[in-house]
Amino acid sequence: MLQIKNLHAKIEDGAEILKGINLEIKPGEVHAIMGPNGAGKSTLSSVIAGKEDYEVTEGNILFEGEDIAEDAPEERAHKGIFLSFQYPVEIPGVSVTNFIKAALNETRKANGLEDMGAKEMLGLIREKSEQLGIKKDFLSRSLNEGFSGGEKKRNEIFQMMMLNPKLAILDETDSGLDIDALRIVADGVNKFKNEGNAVLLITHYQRLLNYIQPDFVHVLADGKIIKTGDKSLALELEEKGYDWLLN
Amino acid sequence: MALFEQTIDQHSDFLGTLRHRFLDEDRKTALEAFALKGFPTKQDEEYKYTNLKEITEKNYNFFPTEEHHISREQLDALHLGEENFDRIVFINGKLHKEFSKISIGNAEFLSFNYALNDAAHKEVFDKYFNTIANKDLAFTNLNSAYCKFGFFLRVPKNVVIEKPIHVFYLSQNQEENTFYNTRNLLIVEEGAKVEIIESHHNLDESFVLTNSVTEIFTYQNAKTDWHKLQNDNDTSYLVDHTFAKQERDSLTTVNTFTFGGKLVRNNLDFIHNGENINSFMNGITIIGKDQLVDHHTAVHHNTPNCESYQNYKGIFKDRSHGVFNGKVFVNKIAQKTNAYQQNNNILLDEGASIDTKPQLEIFADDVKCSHGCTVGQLNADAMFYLRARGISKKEARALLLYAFANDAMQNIDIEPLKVKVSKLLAEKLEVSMEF
Repeated sequence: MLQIKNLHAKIEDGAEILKGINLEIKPGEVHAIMGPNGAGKSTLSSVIAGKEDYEVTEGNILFEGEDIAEDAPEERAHKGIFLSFQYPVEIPGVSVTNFIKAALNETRKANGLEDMGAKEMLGLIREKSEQLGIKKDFLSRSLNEGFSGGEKKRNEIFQMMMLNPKLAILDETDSGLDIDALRIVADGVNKFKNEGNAVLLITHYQRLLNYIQPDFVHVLADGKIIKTGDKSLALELEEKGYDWLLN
Repeated sequence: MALFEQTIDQHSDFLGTLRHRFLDEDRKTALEAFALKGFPTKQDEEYKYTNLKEITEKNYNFFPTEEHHISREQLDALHLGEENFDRIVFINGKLHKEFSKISIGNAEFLSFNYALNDAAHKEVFDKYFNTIANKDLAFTNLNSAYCKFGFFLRVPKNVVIEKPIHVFYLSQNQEENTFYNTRNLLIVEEGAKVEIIESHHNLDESFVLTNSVTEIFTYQNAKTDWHKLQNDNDTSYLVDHTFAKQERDSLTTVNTFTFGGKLVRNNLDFIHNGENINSFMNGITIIGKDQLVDHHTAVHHNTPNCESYQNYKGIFKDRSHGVFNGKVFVNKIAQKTNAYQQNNNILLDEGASIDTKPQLEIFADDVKCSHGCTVGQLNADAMFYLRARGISKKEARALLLYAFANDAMQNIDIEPLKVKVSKLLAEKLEVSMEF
């Protein structure tokens, strides 16, 4: 589904952050990328999603066999790439419901589909929000405005479930969550997960991986993947830290 | 002949059209005061950023044709969509009762001209008319000399008018450029409450210059809300001056939503005359092409323990130009004043510009006054967030601009007006989304 080959990227007019990443994600797989602060984890997710602050200087990003390096962020979203943000943006005056309606219908339009009917939309919103234990009044609040850390993350997962992407990238989704919120979020991801889609978890800590079982764990350090293993690698990192890999 | 010469030239003809002449002397005095200084120029500090030349160089007809071809459907299209709102419709200066709907029985609601002609109102005119309007101002004097159109409304003690009243000023079927001097007088007595929506519409291709002056008196424990919905066409000029005087424990709001008009100058003066007064001024401006919108506000904190809040948002496209000058005067006896002023602007195109100037003159020593103005562009991280969710660049921009403008519409409690302002925002940002 996603093939990243020798990817180099830098901040516009700045330093190189990704220094030759290779990664392949197949349908049905869950990958986790771990690594110390400043390793380039968030940069990688932003580059896959198409953030314009970064410039790809070498290598390719292929999504379902197609090079997406020139695509705008919204085009990547329309193709089925979803990025859950570490710091979701507050949009006063725009309700959670109206926002998700706009996002979903724009994606449908780009894929040659009609707008989703109001009844169907409402049914889908109800189904997904109930799965995440989201209350009705939450949906009419302004997007992320005054949300707690947990509410913001839950809202990101709600949007993921509504948009039903092929590849979901979850950037530090576990940060700022208490254990109950973490369980709900992980439960949402597990419900979303199926044979046809894939999940890429970006995380600093191992604890999320107790709830979402990865097939592969990669260690990213200084812009490169320096080790790949199965979920036992995450436990090892938890125990030993990163230093033993860096030296 | 340019406008200045016309104003001198036409006055005796104008006076000849009036039936009730008790204001003649005042009108002549006002015209003389106007003639002495003429129209302000860019040398005048108050008009430093706003060139009035394109207005004053034109010729205007001072006596609009009364005949019109406006249909009920056309009028309905201008509505906010709420059938049960009261409305009062002026076409070419004249009140049209067949288009108006007034369900309130316990308030005096008259056309300005009718009130002027009615001897029974002489006393109330003596007491209120032109008492808070500043007599040093060119447009205000010109208005006093020529005013005839507009409305008079007195809401008696403890009368609460629940439904908003929408006042329409329409101009149509005018073959020449036309000059309207509109004058409104609103008296809200003790414990009373009223809410007004005002909009001006030029339905012709020829130019309309509206010089509007409004005097609002809000008494103890009374509440007045006045919403100016300015979305006129490209051949419209509007110079508005609204003076609002408040007595103790009163609340007055003036909201100004400006989406259209070739050149719009809004002047707003709040005058405090008692303790525990609250004043709110909010504005949203979105313009493009070569439009100019200028907001001049002034709050006169003359008394202690009062609060004023100003929140103006501006979005400027193309080669449009915005001006904001917000003055706060705090008298030395006005201790414990709380005055807040905010003006935030976003320039969307390289040719767009804004001149913003907060001006605080504080003579009391125990006050809280804050002001801030910003000029910026949209937040790139926020744009990325929206686009990564599949929302196109144009729509993402519109959503963020809506969010930016949103807190200036927080205290509109009329839902259809909120919807209308949101729709106009979408229209001006060229997107078809609902916010």
